[in-house]
Amino acid sequence: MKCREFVEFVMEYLDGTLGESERRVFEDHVGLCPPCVNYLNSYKATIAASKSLCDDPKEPAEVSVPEDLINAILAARAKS
Amino acid sequence: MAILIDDPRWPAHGRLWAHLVSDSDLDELHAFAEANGIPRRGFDRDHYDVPAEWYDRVVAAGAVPVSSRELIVRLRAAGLRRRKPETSIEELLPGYLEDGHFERPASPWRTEGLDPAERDELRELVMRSIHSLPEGHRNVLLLRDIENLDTEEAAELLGISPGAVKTRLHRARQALRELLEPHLREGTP
Repeated sequence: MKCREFVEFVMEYLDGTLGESERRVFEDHVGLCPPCVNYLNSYKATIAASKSLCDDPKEPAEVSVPEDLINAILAARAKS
Repeated sequence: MAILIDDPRWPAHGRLWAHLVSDSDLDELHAFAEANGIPRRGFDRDHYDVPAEWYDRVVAAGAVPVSSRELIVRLRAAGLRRRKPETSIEELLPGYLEDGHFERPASPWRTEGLDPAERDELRELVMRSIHSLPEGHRNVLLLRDIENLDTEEAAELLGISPGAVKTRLHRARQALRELLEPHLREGTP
């Protein structure tokens, strides 16, 4: 496995949806490639940083979700 | 008919900046800027970038302090919002050498043990970086990683397939990671 393939598999690896043999190849590569260890950790940190935008009680996510999308979310939540 | 300014908390070029806009017309904005010594080169599509140290003076001259969200809402309502041309997601993905290794190997990041000021700065950086993603990818990331919708819900809302949601989410995260890396790698002040 090369770094390029490794990056393609990162999300599925973190979601736990990689097949057994792919997961073994992925983890073997992590053991051999420090830049991919850094990539995996920083990918996880990127997700955590996005999620943390919702965690600030004084200022909930101030990223501008388009208004039609907000309305669609509200409508979907009202239905459920 | 007002000149609006948001909080000076947008980092760029080693300083903090506020956005100055008009909620009625650009002529009013340019006239206000000129009268207050804000150079024309600070104008960017629909706003002037104003350095933090000028904030009090500009407010004293009549600019109305508002939140960033209100500033955007009123700019849109006035029909004066002009978005940056979108960058292609491809330009934001990692580059590889011919042998499949990273062109620029990823570095360890410093995201633990940040003090409150550094956490605020990181939050601003993440918000700005998410804003700079292409819209189709940004929307998926907002729904999945911030609104915490699952793949199927996001797919339904956006009118795309679950597979497309997964592909866009992974690319959006990769692009966001690339945008954050120069600021967060260890050894970065």
